[in-house]
Amino acid sequence: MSDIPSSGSTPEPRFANCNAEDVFRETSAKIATPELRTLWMRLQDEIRRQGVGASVTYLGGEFTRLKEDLRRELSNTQTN
Amino acid sequence: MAFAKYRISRITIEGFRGFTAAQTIEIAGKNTFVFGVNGQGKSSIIEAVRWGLFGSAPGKDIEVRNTFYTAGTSVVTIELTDAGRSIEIKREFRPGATRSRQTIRDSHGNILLEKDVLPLLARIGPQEGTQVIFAAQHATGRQAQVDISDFTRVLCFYMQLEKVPELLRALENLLAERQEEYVSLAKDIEHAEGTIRSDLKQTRDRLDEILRNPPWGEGPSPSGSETDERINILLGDAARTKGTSSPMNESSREKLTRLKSELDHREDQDAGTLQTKIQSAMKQRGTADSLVASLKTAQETGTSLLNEIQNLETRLSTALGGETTEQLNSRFAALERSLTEKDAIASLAATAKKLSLEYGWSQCPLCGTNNSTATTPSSLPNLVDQRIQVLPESLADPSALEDLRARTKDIPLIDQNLSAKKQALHASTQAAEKCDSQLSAVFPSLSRPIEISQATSKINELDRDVEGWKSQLDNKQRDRQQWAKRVKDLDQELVFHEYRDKIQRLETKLTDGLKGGRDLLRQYHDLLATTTSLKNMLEQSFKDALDRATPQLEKMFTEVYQRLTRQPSYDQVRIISLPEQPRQRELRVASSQLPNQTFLPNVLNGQAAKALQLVPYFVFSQFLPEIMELDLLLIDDPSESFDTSHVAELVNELGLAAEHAQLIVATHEREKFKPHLTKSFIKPLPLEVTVEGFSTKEGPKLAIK
Repeated sequence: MSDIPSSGSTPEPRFANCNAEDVFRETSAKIATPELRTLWMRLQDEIRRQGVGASVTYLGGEFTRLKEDLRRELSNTQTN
Repeated sequence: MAFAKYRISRITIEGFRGFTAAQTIEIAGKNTFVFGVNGQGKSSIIEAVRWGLFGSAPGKDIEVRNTFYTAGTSVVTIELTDAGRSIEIKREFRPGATRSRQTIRDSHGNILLEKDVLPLLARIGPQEGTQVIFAAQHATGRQAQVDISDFTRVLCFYMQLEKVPELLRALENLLAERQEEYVSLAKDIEHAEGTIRSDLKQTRDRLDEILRNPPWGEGPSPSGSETDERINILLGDAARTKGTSSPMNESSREKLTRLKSELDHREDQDAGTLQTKIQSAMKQRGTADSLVASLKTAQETGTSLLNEIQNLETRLSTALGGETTEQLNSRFAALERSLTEKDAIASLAATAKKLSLEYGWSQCPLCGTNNSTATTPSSLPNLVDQRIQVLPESLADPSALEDLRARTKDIPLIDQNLSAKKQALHASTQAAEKCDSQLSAVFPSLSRPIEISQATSKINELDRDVEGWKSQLDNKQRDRQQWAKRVKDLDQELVFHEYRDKIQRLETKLTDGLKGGRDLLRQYHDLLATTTSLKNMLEQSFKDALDRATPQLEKMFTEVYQRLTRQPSYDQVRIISLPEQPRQRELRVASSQLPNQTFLPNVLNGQAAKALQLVPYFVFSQFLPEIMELDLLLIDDPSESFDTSHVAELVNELGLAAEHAQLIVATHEREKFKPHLTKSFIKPLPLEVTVEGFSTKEGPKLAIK
């Protein structure tokens, strides 16, 4: 990912504030709830470090964790 | 990071489309124009460069093979150079292979990865970007590979917005999947709740069933400890009366189960013993019955035979009349003989009498007796009569002889009968002895010979035993049933407590047990909602960014478009978003006279439509030129549909693009292009490759200048 031009460095000045980092920043500004902000910060961190795929993998992992916890909980409830 | 700025310095093509044996084009300068008439391999050069860099879509590699080339392999080798450095990109499609294979090597032959040396090229992938353009010939009937529908992707690439639609797509897919999963999880919880409720109802029904006929009888239901105490009392009773164990460190359920098992075992054993006794006695009785009957028959037969023998012996004795058989026979013979003698004497006497009467002899003519006294022959007959009269009477009684004859005839028959009866008596006696012996085995206490009455008495004794044992068995079964009822009642009490506890547990599960699951489902739903909100905000920000860029882009597009076309009617280029695909942008044309309307490109004439296709690439190729490791414009037949007067503008635009990009352009309109090259391109002038001829055996004949 280091090969990709970094945020805010669009060489074409006519299109400043129109790249992905700008979109992400603008999205961050719209977020009002702490839960959403925490999630978005974490996703952004994943995007910066490992790319979009990693961020969605992380998010999918969160869903999977909840699903597995829920299934475990149900299993415990049914066996006890 | 410093990026290499490669340009193509050599192209070698073999067995690719129109090409057969390998041919190499050395590009000493920067730009190349390939001239030639259509259908002679001009476009194959453009396609070869594109294929070498990107390959074909899956399953499409087979289309590049030259079927007339016997070697069969399709190979394109592209040499890229940058300030003395060079790499070689080689793509091969071998006979029998299903897809082509690309290898990249440095000048030392080391294999390199595309993502390391050409990262942007790798990101563009097989679809064309702007710096690598492939405008296919429409005349060949091949699908145009420069497609305006790719516009959004190209736009995002150059706006450095790629990550946003990529993220949006991924979030959409994730949300769709997880929404389905949420529904499934919600159903799981519903199912779990349904199962608990069903279990609860079933347990309550069972409890009600117990309560309808409570095992503890009248009164309130016992507490758990009361039931435990009752079980301990039962265990104590059983230990005292039945000798069962009374373990201490067991649960009430275990104690009850153990007691039931031990009682069953003991009762089974006792009942088994009694049943064995009864069966044995019944069998003994059956045997004895049979033997007594046989003995009785033998004895009765013996008695009857004895009577018969006695009668026969009386008859024999009567027949013998105190004599022996031999005596009787002797007497019979003598009497028979004497009768014969008497008859002879009588006959003789008659004769003598006749003779004496006739002859009057003093001396018997037969025996010589002197009859001196007989003075006259008349006295002799009287003498004979006298003498005959003095003969024994017996000798004279024939009835005695008949009697003797009958008796002597009867005696052998009696003897024979008597002998048979005696044999039968012997057999009967033996049978009786055998029965006696067998009965003695059945009843050893009886002394032999066994009287029938004794045996019958013993049989009756056996019957009494059996009745006694049966009675014992009945008593035991009643006792067993009583114990079983006590055990069962307490078992039901335990079941009652278990059901009551279970109902409490199930009720707790319904309220508290599923709470964790419901909380997690809520968290799942919240995460879905949060992600959806995030996606929507991101979508809006993305749209805003595109909207911000759109006016400037439209201005740039319009400038290039007007230079190329000088369209008087549709003189504007617009970028619109589609309501049904808000993330997509498409190109439209507009008129400055109708500022609020946009039109599909099909309102344009061929030249303007072609120009509109090229516009984005001319505009976008101006962006980010310094980071493009391969800034290449690859254009096939750009002037298709252009009239002569507009080719100058087109070449001029190409010249502008060539200020930063390397151009490889194929065209069949050499005459139109050639005059403008020197004006529009700074030196060195583009390399000219002319396709001078074509044969299926040798491929295109190239003249390089």
